[in-house]
Amino acid sequence: MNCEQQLSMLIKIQEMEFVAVELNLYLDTHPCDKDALNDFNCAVEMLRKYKQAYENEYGPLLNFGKGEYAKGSWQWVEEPWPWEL
Amino acid sequence: MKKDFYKSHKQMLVDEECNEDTKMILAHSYVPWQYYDKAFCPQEALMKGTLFPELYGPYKPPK
Repeated sequence: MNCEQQLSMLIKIQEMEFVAVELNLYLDTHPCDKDALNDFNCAVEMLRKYKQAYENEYGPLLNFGKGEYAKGSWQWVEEPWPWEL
Repeated sequence: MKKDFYKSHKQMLVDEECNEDTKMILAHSYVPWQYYDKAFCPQEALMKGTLFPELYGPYKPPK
């Protein structure tokens, strides 16, 4: 199986998610920092795009909660687990 | 029951901060204010465990 593309998309998601968490924590103590808020919003928007692109290509990232409803089949188990990529 | 139960709050603070023998106050902790003016790229941030270059401090075990 060619997982290279899937893995690289997953890593991009992880990286952007980390940036969002870091700016989230910074903003907890600096809520009026406009630059940080702007960068946080950019990170969240890019993260949303990365996740959407990933899910369109490879299926749901989460079993339930934030993703879409299951379509037709139980896609959650159709893709390799992250550690199998 | 603790013996200082009936002490005023103010007196308890004084007792905590000032040692009777030395008249020195205990250590106070603080952190300097952080400013956001530079950041690692997302890839570097995840690898280093922080987005903020000034917070990057890897532990190097002694050889």
